[in-house]
Amino acid sequence: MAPPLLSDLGYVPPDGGWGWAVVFGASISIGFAFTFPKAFTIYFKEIQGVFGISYSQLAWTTSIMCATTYGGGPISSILVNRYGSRPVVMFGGLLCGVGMISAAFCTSILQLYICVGFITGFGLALNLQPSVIIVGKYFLKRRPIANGLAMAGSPVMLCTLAPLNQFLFDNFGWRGSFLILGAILLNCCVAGALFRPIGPGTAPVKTQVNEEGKDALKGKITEDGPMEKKIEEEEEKDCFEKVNQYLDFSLFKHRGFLIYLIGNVLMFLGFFAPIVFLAPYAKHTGIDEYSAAFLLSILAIVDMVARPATGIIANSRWVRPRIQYFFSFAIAFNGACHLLCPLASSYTGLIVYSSFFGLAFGMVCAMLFETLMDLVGAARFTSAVGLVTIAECCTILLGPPIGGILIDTFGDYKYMFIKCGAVMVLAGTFLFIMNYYNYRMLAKEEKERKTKEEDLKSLRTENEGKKNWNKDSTEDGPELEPLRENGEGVKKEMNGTNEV
Amino acid sequence: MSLPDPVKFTFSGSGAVTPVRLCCCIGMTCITKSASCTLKLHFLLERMAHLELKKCIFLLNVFKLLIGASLEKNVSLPSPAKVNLTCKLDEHSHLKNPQVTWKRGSQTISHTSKSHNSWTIQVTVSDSSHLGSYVCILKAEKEISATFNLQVPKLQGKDKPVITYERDRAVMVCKSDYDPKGWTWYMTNGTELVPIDRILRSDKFQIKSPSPNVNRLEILKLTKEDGGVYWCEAAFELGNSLYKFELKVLSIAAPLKPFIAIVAEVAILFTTIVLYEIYSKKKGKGEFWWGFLVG
Repeated sequence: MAPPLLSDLGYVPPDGGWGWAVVFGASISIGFAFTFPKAFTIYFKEIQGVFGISYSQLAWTTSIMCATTYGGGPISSILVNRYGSRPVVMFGGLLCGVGMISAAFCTSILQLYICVGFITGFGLALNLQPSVIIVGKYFLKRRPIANGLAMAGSPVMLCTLAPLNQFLFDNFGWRGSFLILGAILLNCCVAGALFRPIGPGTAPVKTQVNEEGKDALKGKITEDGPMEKKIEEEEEKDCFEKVNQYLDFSLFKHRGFLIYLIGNVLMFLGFFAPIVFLAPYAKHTGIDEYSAAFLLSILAIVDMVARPATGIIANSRWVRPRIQYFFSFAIAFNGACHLLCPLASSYTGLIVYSSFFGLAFGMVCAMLFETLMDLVGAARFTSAVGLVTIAECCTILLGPPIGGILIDTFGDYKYMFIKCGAVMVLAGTFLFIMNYYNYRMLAKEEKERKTKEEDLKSLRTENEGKKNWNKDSTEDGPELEPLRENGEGVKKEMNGTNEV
Repeated sequence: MSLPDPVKFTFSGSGAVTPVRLCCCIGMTCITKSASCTLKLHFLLERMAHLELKKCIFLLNVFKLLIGASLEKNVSLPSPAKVNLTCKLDEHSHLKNPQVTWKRGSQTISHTSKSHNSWTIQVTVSDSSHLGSYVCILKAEKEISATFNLQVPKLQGKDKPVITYERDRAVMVCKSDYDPKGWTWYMTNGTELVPIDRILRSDKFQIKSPSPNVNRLEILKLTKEDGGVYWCEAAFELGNSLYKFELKVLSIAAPLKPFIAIVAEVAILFTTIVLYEIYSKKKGKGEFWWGFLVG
């Protein structure tokens, strides 16, 4: 029912070895990218006082940072497609560092917008996408675990950055803290250094192909098999193809990609708002500040454990082929938590809610990129992640303000929770139904392709004896015969048999 | 040890009041369901004060009675007012024939009104001599007391030291819940409080008031000597309220040390990773640098 595990990368990923160092580097990089805007809010009160501005003016800083981090996705993808993950992450780390160091010398809020918002945000964008991409290049069989571990960097970093920021602020003021944070962000360069490039340099298909033969091979394969297999270095003169080489817009015709895009864009509308408003809601119900902060700590700790655990579960024999269903379930579970939250009015109830929320949040985050890789394949994932993040950018930014408006209009937090819960349950249901349809279509296509291959194979064995066929083939040139064999050989390897 | 008697809070208000959330809990059991209670057995009260200059009547009569514990509540009075203070005992209480006395210091005050479970006094606060602590003492099988501290409003600022750097600008923001009549800033010279005259030294000190209940002191062109203690004073009709700020002026070198340490750590780790990669790629090192940078 589900498609078999195929690698369209052109090589077999190591699934371990140096891959674990890459996962470690990716978790640091991803951790910084996701948690830095959140940890930054500690400085708000002080900067508000120094520059004499309102909270909402200052909140634009983190909004710009988030927007740039997600909106810079396509640029990140283009750069990774061209140069690979390593130089992009190192440059991103450098940019973050420079951004924060220059922010330490800012004298106005506009300069802060530029230094902290744009420069650091863009640097984080150049960190986030390539880290996720390179995990997909190093792992296939254990990819869900690798993704779960890489995404676990986010809560770990949050638990470290928040007290660290407080400590820096108490001892060095906000300017000194920015300077030191800039140095800390340079550690992303170290994470980038771990991203050793890996590619199809050693696979048999590529080494045998020369310039003229490449186009013919590509033509043959796309003609013979509906399974999409894109070779990384396309040399076609077509302009559209050239653009697609940098950023694969043809993904918009990919059924799985569109399903993922619509479902996720919808989901993010209600994803972050509950976290933003959890502490204020707790204070609203009469809980003191420290207990409210403790709720967030519970969330982070459960999140930290949930992400690798989800990765392990998603990697298991039963879940991996149906991972899209697991993802939809996680989203719907998340939504159900929010819908039930208004019923929790006591502190114990809120603790229970925080734990379940942490669990659900971790489950969704761990599988966020894994499911996209599963749908579009690791080769096209580079472009896919960029296109998806820029589309999600809008709803991510809209989510908390809409929640805020609901709270202000009705004076009650429960409508915000109901809205978030409803949106996520809807997104989860949508993804579940559409992926059911997608799995069926993929199975059907697989079946069609198999029968077509068998026909072609029987046809070929029939015609081998015929003289006409040989005459045609000698006209084309001796190169095509071994290429055709190689083409078949590739397909057979893809099917899991090795008969070449 | 036997559990203390559960005490129910009530409040009475007059005029335009916003709802108050009350909480009454003993241990983990809460009687009032409308709000949640912390485990620390302290009560929560959101003040519903409606302040009018002409007719200020505060009603604060919520407290919690525990065995042996005495309760305290601070009441902020920015301007002269008539205050009703009520001690109320819950109906579920088992205490029989309680006798309640109101005292201020050693002087007993007579009740303005009384019921079978509540005792009220009215205090007319017209100047600072009427401020202070008013205690309600309940004598039955046990003795329980509750204290109301009538005082001028407290100010808010930054309780941790304000950290700034040389040649930078320091900003200290002093806030109050009520609008005072005036603000003054002082700096300490040894043990003396010297008022800051902004007109005399306008190139160094700037005092701004973005709104009547907020006041900002800005110190420009900081030097090491500017560090120390500064005081913010708000003048109310019933007296003055002070808040202490501590200013620390650091040199640029202070954060540079950890900065350089971290940059060094980054460089060391980076070099280690590069060297390890060279070592493990010993065989194909011709194209190494180009291959290192471009994947």
